[in-house]
Amino acid sequence: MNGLALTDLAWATAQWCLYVTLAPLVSGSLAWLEARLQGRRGPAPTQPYRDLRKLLRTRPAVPVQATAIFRLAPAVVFTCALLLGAALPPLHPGAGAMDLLLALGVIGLARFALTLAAFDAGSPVAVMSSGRQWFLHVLVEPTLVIAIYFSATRSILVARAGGGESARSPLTALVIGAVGLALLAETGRLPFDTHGSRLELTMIEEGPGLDYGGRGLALLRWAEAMRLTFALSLVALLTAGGLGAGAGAGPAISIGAFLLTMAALLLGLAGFELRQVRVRPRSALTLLTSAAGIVVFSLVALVVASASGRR
Amino acid sequence: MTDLFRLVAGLLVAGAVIGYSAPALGRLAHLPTERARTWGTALSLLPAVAASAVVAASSARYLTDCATGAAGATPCRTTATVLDLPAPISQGPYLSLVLRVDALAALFLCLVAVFSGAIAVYSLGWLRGDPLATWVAGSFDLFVAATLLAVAADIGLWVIISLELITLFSADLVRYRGRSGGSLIDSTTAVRTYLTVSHVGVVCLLVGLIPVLPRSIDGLPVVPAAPSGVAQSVSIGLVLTGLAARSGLVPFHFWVPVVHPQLPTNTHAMMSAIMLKVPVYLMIRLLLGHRLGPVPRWWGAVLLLASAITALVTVAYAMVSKDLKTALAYHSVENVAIIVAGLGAAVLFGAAAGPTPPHSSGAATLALIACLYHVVNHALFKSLLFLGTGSIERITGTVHLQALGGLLRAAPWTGVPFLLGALAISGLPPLNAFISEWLTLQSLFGGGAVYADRHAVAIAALVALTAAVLALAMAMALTATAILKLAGDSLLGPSHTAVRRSGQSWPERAVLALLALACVALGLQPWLLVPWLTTAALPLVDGAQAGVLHADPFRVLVGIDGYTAAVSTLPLLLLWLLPVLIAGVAGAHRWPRRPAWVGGTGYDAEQMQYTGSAFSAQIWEPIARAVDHEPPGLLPGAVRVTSRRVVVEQGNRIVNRLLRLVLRSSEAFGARVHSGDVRRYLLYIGLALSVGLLIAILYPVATP
Repeated sequence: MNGLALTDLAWATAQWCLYVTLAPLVSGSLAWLEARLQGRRGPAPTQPYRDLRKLLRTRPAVPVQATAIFRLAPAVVFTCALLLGAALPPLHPGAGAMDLLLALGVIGLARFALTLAAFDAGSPVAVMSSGRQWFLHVLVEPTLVIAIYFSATRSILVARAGGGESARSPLTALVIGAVGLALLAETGRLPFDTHGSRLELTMIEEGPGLDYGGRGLALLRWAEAMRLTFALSLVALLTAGGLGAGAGAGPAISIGAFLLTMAALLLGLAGFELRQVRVRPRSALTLLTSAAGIVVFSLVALVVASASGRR
Repeated sequence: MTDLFRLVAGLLVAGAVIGYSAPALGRLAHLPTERARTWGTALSLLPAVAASAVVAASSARYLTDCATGAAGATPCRTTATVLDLPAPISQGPYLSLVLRVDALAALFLCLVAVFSGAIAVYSLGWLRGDPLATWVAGSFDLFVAATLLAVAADIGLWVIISLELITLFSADLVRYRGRSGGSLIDSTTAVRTYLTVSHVGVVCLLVGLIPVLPRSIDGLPVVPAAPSGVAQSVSIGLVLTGLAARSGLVPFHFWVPVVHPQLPTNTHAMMSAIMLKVPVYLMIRLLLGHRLGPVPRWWGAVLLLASAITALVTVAYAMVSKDLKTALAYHSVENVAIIVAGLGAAVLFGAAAGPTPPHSSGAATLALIACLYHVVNHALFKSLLFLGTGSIERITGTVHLQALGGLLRAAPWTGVPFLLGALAISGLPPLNAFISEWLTLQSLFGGGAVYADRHAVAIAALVALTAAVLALAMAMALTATAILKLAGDSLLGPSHTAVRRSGQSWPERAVLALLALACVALGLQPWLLVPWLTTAALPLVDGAQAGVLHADPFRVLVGIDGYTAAVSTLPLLLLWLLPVLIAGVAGAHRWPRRPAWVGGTGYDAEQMQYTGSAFSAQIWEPIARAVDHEPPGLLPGAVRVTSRRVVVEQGNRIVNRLLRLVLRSSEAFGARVHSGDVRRYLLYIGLALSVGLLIAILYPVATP
């Protein structure tokens, strides 16, 4: 192994470690920002760490009729969240990342495990929330896959045209926006209710883990925070990558661009969640089909542009 | 190869004869019925196991030889005339049975043999105590023989004959439910539907193939030149229609769920996992083997669109199905759609475009490999799921989802493999189907060079590829939901039926465990099959690029010029190891059990368990309607999801309408032609005689 590869590996590992450790901070700051925007003082951004420490100390109870699936599911979900971190595009160019389709599969696996656990525990609310999650997932998946198709096609067409096209095309920005929208639904951030509420019937994201307490819940909470971080930083990294590519600068500038985008995204998300109280689950359909529509439009535009560029 | 053919055919026919005659022989020998049945079944199935082992071993060796180049000629191909039948008239169709085995055929032969062998072993246990056991075993032998023949026969009249044999023997098995106390009406409907669809398919195929069927000239087969222009388009269209009918693509998806559940569950596995692949095999053979000339690339777009629609439609019906067998039958068609999508992409990217290989031939190679990979994977997880369903049926006596539950606890030897199969069919890592679905999508992604082509091709490609990517992605997510519904209802929650503890025999357990292990192993080490698949795929693609897929124990790497993607096997392994580790650290096995409560009261599983159909309600609600007046017809016109809501089966309704039309018109026509007037029949005889004479004059008798 030569020196360059070692550096890449070190960068990738560092990025992944930060992803795992800082994830609760991201979700904590989101809650804090929301509180501040509402004029409340709110919990400190580090509150999730305290929650996790408290939860990790207690043993959860297992329903009498449950099987080993219920005991294993939080660990599976947590593992999936850990692996997602490897799929983030590297800040340091040159280091490889996990395939995004594999990342989608991993997200699906986490959902699958948690839904099985919900069936296993037998709680109606958990299964109902899982059903809603899958409804959203079914709509989100095509958007994300076609977005990956867009980026693949772009790279092929650029390579055929002899390269040179900047990553800062307006189409790419559109696609990143649509992906962000889809990921918003995937991470349960479409506000079907005020996010601070803990009303069982309206909970989509927290619902499936309703039967867990203690360590199981801690694993699930942490995994959820990681998934949120994954979604936000994916969008931020793609954007920062686009900005950084234009500047053609070293890691310092791209890290700066990333942090700035991340902050902007957090603020925007908090504002969005506060403004958009109560989306009906069905209206997610409109939102997500338009996200898919945006990507398809960008794809068509890309192909047409490359065809007319050839003439 | 002639000896091998004789051995296998002899074994299977002997097995069938033993199976059919066992009851009579037992009576002659004054054996008790029960013993005669047990011995007859065993003696009838063991030849099938032996024949499968022989075919699997020799085709695996052949494939390995092809892969290493030890077979001699490249691309390797072996032909042998195993049955010499002189053609009665000169220039008539060539009648001798010629077997033609190349890498692709060897792959499919191996597939058929391995899984029919597994199913035969499983049946040794599953058929125990079944009054119809010997008959099922006998027909199963012949079914296997016909399937092997369809794969090995050279393109010609024998392919049609073997397809008809498949229909015959499997239709015999479709009568099972009716004979074992099920609804006779359903059984008759199923047999009739099956025969009709199969025959329509075969007729389309035959008419489409007529221009290229080998003719006998001086006793030698001469393959006519491939048609071109409109004639070629008509030919390809007919062939694809015929094969689509047999593999259940939309609009022919209606027959699968009507017919398949009537089969005994062990042969249901054979039909869904293996038989549906035979038309796919013939598609690959005919389109990519240049038998119909270079295939215009827009046919690929047609195939892709058909598979996109099929995947979405069938997965929706699978979601609202009420019993395991119907739901899984729909899933089979959905998976065939994913397979055909790979084939369609290969054609679209120019796998059969002729002498000048297009820019996108790398993607075409990958698409064909992905298609073959999914064929293998689907056979694996689908036979696992169906055999699991068979065991579920045996230990509970039902396959209705609402009557099942809690099987993971009550019958872990069935439940755990079934759960693994469910994970596999959902296309989730770290199981086997993930990698083939990943490859299928990657081949679609890697075909961007197709847009640099002529405008007509580029537009067709844009429409078809976008539709296929969207539909396949959605279908994969929907499959996971539909399967969760199945698994949640049948494996988890409270059990609604008594479970027979002694219900499961050791052959069943062994086969289920082996298939499940194979799913896990292939998921972890996806490269294992790649050399064989590549060997089978490369000779079929014009301008094939061997380097598009690189697979080793550490990663699977796709590299089409301008596009690369890779899956490392490390995360797949971690997905198995880390959860166990984390659960161990968290002490999950020591978490105490407590009675659950819901909304302040004690949890009563019988009353409160959420059902699978309620779980998937968000998704089926938009397509469900309030109960409407169902027009009468042979096939069910709607699937009932709740007591007040149905999902309309549009395909079935159209078929019903067609059937009524045919019946009415044939009644009117028949009354005229078949009037009972003797003079009229004399006229028919005279006409037939003159037609025969005319043929005899035009085509003189061949001189021996």
